[in-house]
Amino acid sequence: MAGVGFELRKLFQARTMTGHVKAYSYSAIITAGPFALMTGMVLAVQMLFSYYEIGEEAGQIFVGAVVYAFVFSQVLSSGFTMVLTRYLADCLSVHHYEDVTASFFGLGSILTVLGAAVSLAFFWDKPLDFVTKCLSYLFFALLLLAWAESVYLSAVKKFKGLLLSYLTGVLLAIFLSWAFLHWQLLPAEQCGLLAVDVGMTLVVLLFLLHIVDYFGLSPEGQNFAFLPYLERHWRLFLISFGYMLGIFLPNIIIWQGPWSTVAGGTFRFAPVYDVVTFFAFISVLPLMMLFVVSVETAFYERYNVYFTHITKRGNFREIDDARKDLLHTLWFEIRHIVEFQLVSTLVFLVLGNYILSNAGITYAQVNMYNVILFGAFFTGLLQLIYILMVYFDYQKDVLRISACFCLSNLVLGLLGLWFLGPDSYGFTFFLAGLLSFAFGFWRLSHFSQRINYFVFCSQPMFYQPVQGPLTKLALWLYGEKYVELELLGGERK
Amino acid sequence: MRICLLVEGSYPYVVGGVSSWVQMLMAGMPEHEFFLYSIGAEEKDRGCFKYKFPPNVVGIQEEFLDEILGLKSHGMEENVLTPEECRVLYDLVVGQKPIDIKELASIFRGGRRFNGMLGIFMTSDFFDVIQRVYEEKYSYLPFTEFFWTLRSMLLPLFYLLQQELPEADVYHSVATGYCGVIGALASEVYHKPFLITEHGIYSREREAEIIKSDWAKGDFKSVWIQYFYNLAKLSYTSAHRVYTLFEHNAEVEMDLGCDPAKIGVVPNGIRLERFKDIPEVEDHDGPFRIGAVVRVVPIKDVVTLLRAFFLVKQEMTDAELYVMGNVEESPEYYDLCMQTVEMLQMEDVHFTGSVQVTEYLPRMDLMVLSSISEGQPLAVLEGQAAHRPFVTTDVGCCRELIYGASDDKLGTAGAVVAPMDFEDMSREILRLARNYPLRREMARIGYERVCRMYTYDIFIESYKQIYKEAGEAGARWQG
Repeated sequence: MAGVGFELRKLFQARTMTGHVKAYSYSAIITAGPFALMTGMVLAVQMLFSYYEIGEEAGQIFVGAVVYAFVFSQVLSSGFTMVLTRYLADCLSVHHYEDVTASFFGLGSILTVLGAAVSLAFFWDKPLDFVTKCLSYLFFALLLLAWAESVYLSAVKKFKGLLLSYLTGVLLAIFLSWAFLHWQLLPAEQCGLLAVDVGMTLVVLLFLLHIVDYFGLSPEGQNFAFLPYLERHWRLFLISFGYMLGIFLPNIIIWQGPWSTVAGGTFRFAPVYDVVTFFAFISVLPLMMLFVVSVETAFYERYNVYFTHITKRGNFREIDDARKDLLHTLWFEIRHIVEFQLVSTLVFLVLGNYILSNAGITYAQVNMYNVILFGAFFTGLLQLIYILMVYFDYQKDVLRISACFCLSNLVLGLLGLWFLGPDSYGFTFFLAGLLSFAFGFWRLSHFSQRINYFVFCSQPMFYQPVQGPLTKLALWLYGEKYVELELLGGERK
Repeated sequence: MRICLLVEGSYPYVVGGVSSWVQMLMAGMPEHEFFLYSIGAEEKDRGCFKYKFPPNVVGIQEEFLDEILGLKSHGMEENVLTPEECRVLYDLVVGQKPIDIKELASIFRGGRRFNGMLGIFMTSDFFDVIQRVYEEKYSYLPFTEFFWTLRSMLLPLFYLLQQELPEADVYHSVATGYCGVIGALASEVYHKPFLITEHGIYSREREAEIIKSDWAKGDFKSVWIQYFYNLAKLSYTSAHRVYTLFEHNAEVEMDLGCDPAKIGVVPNGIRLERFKDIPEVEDHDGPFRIGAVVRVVPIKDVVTLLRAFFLVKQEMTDAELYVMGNVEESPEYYDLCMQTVEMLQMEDVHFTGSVQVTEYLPRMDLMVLSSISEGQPLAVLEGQAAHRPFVTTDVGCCRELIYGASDDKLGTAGAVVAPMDFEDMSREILRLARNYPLRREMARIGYERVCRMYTYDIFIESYKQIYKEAGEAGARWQG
């Protein structure tokens, strides 16, 4: 998040208590803000449903459509947005701005079409009303666009504007949902969906305004010039896709088991498990918040010094001193984050036990929550490891870690579903998280021990950009006008 | 017997010195088969041969260094080499200890050890070695540049070391660079003798080239120069015999670490019968003709010759100068020569272009060679075969050709002056020009010297003997 660091470093420079509080709050708002607002929106609409005494089925269909859209839009878009981040970083580093906004339209259209294909396949044989299906797809597509936009917004550095956009959209959605339900314009679930669609459309449009305002709108812009990045950085794509899929796989697998209910004959859930995982994942928000701060401030500074010595004719002693400093900071920050997160997890453990027990959840399910809480803890740490290693562009090992996480969740999840039954729920996720974290930690330690070797020798002897079908497509589309960013930014390669 | 000749940057793509030597050698030994292993710079030269192979050439393996640019780096690998092999790499880069080619062979010939041809450059062992060399020897240089310099420096060598090696009974390299190392390696792999014939001193030539180059900067020049000396050392260590054209080179080779017991001198030879109809120098009336058989290129330093001739002309107004050789190779230098002629307002300077020397030599009274660098100049041998006395600069083996080698008591066949010393050159020209009996005696001595030591027959006979001995030695090792 290029822009975050800029703001955070400014806040930390003050070196005052208020500065620090401000910085951490800032990070908290950026990390958790959109999530809280979106969750708030869904909860508010649900409350309106109950206020107007809407039937359970309609409420379930609404929640189903929204949750499915959240889950699958993240899984579907994560690979693309990760690669787009790289494209955008290259555009910015070589000051090539004319294709930036254009690339959003390109990616947006790809995601919308892919989303339509996925939705068509999913809704094909489902008994839902056609309008409901369309509204569900619309929300799904809008989320895909919003995730794509957030990549650009991290470079725009207007986080206030970003949050305000979310807030406006969410408030509009809540208001419309009240209005539609009040006047009963449509079936209840469609009222809710239409309201959130309009709210989300507003968010997407406001984001777009921010992007266009910052990067401009070049009529000459090449919408699909980023496509070659998908084949050059296919590992990054799979890393992000694998990690995101790994996070949701346990839920998707358990939806197929005995705890599942089906809303509107379409959306499968395991409500108890889903709610418990939701709370467990909230517990790792502090980790993300702290991580953003430490990566963007202390870690980034050392990282920068290290690579500056490498690229700007430093001798080995300078490089190695910078390396030691970098690694010291890396491990110090990781320890700091882990300790902080451990405390947070313990707090959630106590609170969860108390609240869930009183909310009528069984003892076994509370136990499951405790286990999932630690699963989430390791999953959060795993993400921390993988982001750090992506920073060093050590993609091969990160892909292994990501594959380990995704596959262990798949295999252990299915084993639990088929052979062990509900007793294993949550535990398989915890095991997969622990296993992948251990593997990731081992790879990170190994990497940090040999960081000089990995940084120097990972550079190929001759840089040859991949010339696969997507590059050929870009060349066919734009011919001579296609700009090879990686050749412009010679120093980085 | 099958002889594998290893050449680098010359035969069969470039005409001249080493290439014509290779052609002469092969043509003179129809009883042996020759297989060529030729290292070239650019793939586009593949199959573009400037020579017609003699019938005893059974094949050619062409390796081009620009093919490396198309290679792909595969993944990184850790701890592929043993500590012993890492030490060999270290010694190769540092070059303080002689390396046994056996040890180098174990790294590259033990089956597919690395991930592709470039695999070794991606290993942790390679990085560790580079880091160690850097810390011990070059810690004042920027590390990233050092790392990349070593990568690109070792690239052609490691690439060639992983290529197929032709099978032969004797390996004979004409330089100590890459083809020297490959010859050493093939000889080790197939247990056959390895010979080197060094024309110029390869490592010295690379040194001169690197010092003048733009591609190696500042302190990195010394890293490169050291590397080529290391390759030469490795070749000398592995060779069973090392031959050179003249004694001075042999001394340089000893200085560079070659075992004196291995070194032999085999001069180039010319075909005497081409010059048998040319009469001796005569004392005649009319203009005094000075000849120079040289290509008009900077290294031949024709400008010094012109200046010397200008001084000669002050004393001997009827002198004429004939520069016999190609003028098209370096048009800028030819222009410079023409400007000098104009500026000094000299008459009687003739640039003949490429000519049949046997037609011009009979008309010459004295020959001059003004080069600033030479090996064993064919022009001097041919002039001497044509009964002409010589004034040469003190380069390459000119001193030996004029004064005789250490075991040669024939006498003086002309005069030797310092390179670029046009005053001394003019003095010597005048001294010889004014003394016909001396000129005639010197011409006789030169002719005698060529007959005794520098004929094509002697040259071929020597190599026949060398191959015979090598073949016998090879058979003994096999047995």
